[in-house]
Amino acid sequence: MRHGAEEEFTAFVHAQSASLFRTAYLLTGDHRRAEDLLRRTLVKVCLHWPRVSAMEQPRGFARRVLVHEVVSLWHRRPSEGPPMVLREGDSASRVVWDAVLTLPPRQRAVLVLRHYEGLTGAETADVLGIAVGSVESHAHAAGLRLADLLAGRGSAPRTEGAA
Amino acid sequence: MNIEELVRRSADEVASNLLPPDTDPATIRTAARRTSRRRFAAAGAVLAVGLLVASLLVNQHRDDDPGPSPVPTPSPVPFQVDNAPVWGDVDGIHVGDDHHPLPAGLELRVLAPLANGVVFGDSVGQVWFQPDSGDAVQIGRYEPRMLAGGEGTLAAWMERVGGSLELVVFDTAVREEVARSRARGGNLAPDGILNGDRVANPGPFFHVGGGLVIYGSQSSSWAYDIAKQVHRELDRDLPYGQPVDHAPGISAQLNVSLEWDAPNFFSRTVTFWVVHEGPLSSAVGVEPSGAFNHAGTRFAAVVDVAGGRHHVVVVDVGTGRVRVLTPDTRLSTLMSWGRGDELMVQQFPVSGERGKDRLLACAVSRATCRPVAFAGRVPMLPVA
Repeated sequence: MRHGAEEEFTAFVHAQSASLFRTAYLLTGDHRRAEDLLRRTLVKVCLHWPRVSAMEQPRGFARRVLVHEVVSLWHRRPSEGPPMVLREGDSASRVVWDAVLTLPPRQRAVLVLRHYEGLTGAETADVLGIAVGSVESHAHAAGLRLADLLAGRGSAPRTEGAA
Repeated sequence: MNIEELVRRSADEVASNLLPPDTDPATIRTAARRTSRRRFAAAGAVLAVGLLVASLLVNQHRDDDPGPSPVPTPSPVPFQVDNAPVWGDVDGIHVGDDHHPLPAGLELRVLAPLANGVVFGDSVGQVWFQPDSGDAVQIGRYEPRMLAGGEGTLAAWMERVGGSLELVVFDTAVREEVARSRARGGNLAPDGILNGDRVANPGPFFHVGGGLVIYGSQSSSWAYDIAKQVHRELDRDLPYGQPVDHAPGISAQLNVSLEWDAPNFFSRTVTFWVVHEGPLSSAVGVEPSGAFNHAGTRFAAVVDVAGGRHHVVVVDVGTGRVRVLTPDTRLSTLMSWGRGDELMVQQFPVSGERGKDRLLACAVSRATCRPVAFAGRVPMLPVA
């Protein structure tokens, strides 16, 4: 890697690592696994840095790699079951996210990309490599499942239009 | 607060309470260099092994001592009907203009064209061989969907024996089982194969060709060497987004971008995994729905376009070249790969008007399709 590219990559790592780590954590619920996913993602970004740095949104590429790393993990180790949940207090948000982490991986990924990363349905579909309609159906199913889960905990959120 | 808002706030709060690790760019660069060197070394090792094997084979021939062969060599039966479209429907098997009704009371479940006929599975778990001429004969029993045919005359399927699955390889040219072995990997029941939610219309991860049967579950992939009668686990853990590495025995994760200039096309990315073993490859996860041809060199997929319509595209796995086979305004469904490079496609009008279905036989290399006469009853088979 030429010197200028090294500096650019260093700046990219400093600027994006924390954000990518948070996304990895939200997708997996596991601090150690999120760290490993972040490292693998950055290594792959580094391998392709000359091409990545020329992109309009290098972080978008890194996010795509990260999500595919997570998907690969699900495919390689489906028997591991739901991600380990690290309890750090029982705040309302923590309760909600514990419920999110019990969702099927694809539904969880759709929620993270849509509601944390702020992607549109089309962008989410693009990152996950699935159809836009599939994103919508995953989001819908996730919403129903979450409502059930949270109702079971006695903290059911009101849906729009509900009394 | 609705669910979306609740999720958004929870994600923000959970994420903001995290303490991200310190990431050292120099460490990442070092790891990247190591990965790069390892890939280079692996490719070199594969090349060296290939050369060694080739050298041994040459020496074997020089010694004029081929040694005992554990299985008969599959008979190289030439195609008797070049590129005749092959498909199945409620009436039976069709090979070009020939129609082979199913044995009484049976329904078709899976079909794979061979060089000398068609192997198919029925609704009660029986495997049949339908030769190009003559009557169908039962040749085994199979687990639902786990049946494949390859180039030449070999078919393979999984048979449940007691509590485990056995892989059966059958040469239809000599009408004999040529190999049988307990399947590896576990969790190979139909529900365990390609049941990921990213696979909309999965064919089983089960292919035969190049002297190998490739099979697997979501957690592992295996290559069964028919001649040596050994199973070997394949590596799935290779980098994302790279062109397929053609080194034998190397698996790769392939990312192909599908882009066209036509305004109605979405720019789409098809991401799937490829397990390479010789010329054969197969999908582990596929989106959109699709299937490899028997040789594993091409991948056909149905791609959504504007207005809920579909296009059928074929990707050359090696080059990433994309051919659009059905650039019109109908709904398309893949049916099956035929012999050679023919792909069967069923189409419906967007209006859903009855009686307007049509069946196409597409020649992929020429990117052309021609209608095939059929009785008007809906062809029923998904991609095999």
